[in-house]
Amino acid sequence: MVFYLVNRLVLAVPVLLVASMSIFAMMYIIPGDPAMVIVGPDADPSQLAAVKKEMGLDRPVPVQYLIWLGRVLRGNLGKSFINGFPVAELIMRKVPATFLLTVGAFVVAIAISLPLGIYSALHPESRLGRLATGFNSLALSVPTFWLGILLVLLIGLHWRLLPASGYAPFFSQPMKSIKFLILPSITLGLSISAILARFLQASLMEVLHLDYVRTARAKGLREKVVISRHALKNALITVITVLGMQVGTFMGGAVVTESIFDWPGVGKLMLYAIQSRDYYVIQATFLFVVTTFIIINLVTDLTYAFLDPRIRYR
Amino acid sequence: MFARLKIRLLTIVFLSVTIGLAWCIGLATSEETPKRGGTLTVGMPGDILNFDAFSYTYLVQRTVRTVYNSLMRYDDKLNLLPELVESWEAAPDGLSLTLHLRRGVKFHSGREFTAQDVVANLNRAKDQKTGGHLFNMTQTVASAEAMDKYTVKINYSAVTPEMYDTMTRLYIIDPEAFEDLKKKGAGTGPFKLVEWQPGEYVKFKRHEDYWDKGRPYVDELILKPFNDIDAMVIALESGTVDLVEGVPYKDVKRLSSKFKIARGHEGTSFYTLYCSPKLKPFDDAQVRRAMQYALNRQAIVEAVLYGTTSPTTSAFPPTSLAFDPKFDKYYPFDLEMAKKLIAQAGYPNGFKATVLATTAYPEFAEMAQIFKSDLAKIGVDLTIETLDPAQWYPKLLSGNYQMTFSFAGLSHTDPSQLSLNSAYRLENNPLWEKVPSDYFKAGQEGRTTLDVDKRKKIYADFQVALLEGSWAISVAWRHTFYGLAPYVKGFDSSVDHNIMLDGVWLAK
Repeated sequence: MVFYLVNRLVLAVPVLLVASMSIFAMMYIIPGDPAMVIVGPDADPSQLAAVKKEMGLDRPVPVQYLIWLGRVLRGNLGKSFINGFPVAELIMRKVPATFLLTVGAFVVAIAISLPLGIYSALHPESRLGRLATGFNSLALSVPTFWLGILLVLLIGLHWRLLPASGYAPFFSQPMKSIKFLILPSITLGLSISAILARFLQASLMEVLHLDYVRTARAKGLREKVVISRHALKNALITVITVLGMQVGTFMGGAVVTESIFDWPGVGKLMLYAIQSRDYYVIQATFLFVVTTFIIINLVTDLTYAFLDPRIRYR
Repeated sequence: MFARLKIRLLTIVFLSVTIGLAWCIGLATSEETPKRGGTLTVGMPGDILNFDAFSYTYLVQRTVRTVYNSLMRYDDKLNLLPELVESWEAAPDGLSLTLHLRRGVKFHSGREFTAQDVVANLNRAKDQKTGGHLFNMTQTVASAEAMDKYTVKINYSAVTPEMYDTMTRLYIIDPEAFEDLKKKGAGTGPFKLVEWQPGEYVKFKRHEDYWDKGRPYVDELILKPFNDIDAMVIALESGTVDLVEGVPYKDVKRLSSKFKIARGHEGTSFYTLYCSPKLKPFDDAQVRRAMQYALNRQAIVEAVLYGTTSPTTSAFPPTSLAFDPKFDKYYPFDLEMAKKLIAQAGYPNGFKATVLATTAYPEFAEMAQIFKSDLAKIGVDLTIETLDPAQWYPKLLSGNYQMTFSFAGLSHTDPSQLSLNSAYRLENNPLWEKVPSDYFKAGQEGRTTLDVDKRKKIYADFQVALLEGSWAISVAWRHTFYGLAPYVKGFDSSVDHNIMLDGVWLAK
């Protein structure tokens, strides 16, 4: 297992290197640079050239990349071209908000998908089962931005049951934080819950027909025990895969949701950085997202071993 | 007994009326008397980029008067008012300006503001790397000297009619903070920076040593950036913010029933359509003039700008000395004339063209839609290309486009300031190798003449050259709308559309 872990971490390095080169190249292909954003559309060409030189943007792109890579290897992610903040500081400030939203969406998704998926698998032809399937289809087809705006208008503005937008740090203001968290979590969690419920339903229906489940029933175990202790664990493997990917996506920042709810997460940071061509911030947030995906994939793979003892990594 | 009852009754009535009157008077006067205290939260579309007051970008300029003061400022009628400068004298030949500074002004650091600080700021403005939008405004500043602690003499290499405009846009930064302006603001303004979380908020507190004693009234100011304008409007409606800048046109009427809507100064900027003479078929002035006739300005004002402004063909608003009503409606909407001009230019069957818009200003694409449908009637097949700002700016700076919607400004003060907008420049114009000679001549004369009557005549010629050349077409006046919660009092904005919050107080 240790060897497996080390191997996976070592393999992550070339992945990160290729990812950093790709995003660096893409940024320079897209027109515009931070110098233009700073000087504005009415700048004198000589001013623009002077500012570019000051920022080091007049150097060849490969040289700029190597300079940046050298700094990163020494633990320095650089400073924002636009606001001068250290990039690492900018990202670390956003991570708690992103993590909180991810957890909130995760909780909503599990709370909806687990009972829905299990019920649909056990009673697929029942009225409630069909309703659950219908709900899944609706949740899948409703666009996130539409749902978010609807929740803001109805619950935030019209009925004033919850705040329409904003954020509060969880540890310093837990109750206020939860109030702000509810609507964006529902927005993000609802569509994921539909995907998870579908996967769980299909997976569980398959597992319920296996011999060992028939044996468990034949032994006289209660249905609840058969499902929770025997069938669900195997059915969850597919669900864990999907969940892992979704959590990775959320940690990368749910840009639309963060914009609608004014949620100060990594997604919003990346959006601002792209709009203002803040190269170092784009690079660093992109690498953060890739690293998060790598870690979550690894955790997902390790969870398989926990769920299914037959799976062992060497 | 009856008499005593009568007296008691009369006393009660008298007291009630007196107390009632006093209560009403108290209410009325308390609404007028600014109340100190409270936190003002302001929503803005887009984040502050940095605290460099010389940085041109709009996102910095809109909040610049929070942290900084300028040397002078204009009132609503464009009368010059003292600010960090108390009085001034211009030499009769126009080649020097002596400024007498206000005494006892403190920077946020506690240090006193002196003449040396003005000199340092002017030198910074003249530097290409740091001058920002002031670089072009200070090209004729030959030198600046501190005559004594509170007197500065600025010497000019040439007559500079716009010298006062520069003084109203030269925001004084504490020279000790020059190196760290990206993250920290340091000026003499009413509010002192406390904390900045990029993308989340900027927190300020009252500058206790502010030179305008008694102001600002609020204890704390929070600026909240919004990436999504609709989310910003919802924040105002839900009470998350007290004031927003940049209410979308579509929401102005709807919000005015529950909120106070303030409009920024008239004529500060205007929407434009640029036609680049660098690319066919717009290298022909007849084609460009055809675009003037084909542009249905009234329809754009009604459909896109919701009737909140007025159309114009002039580059100068009524407040400008260069304004002449005959230039305000120079080109009527006339598709027949547009078609005739296109045919005369050698395109009897029309042509294909592209107009740029940007996501930063959604109204551009909407204007382009109206323009497209009208051009289709005369055989011009228009494609609308919408770019994000970082892609659009390079195109604007290079002039490599056929047409683009944009906006320009600064012509509401000295008319020569119009030439600070890239498409109106006399030199280094992105749309021309060399601008038309009549335009150049009038522009040069206008910026080197002080006589008001002569300048009026010069700028009449300037406008004719601009209108006949038609590479920079005026569409409609552009306003900034501010939404205020009912308890927000004392709000004002400068003629340059900078919000002024030192006079704001909260009646709650």
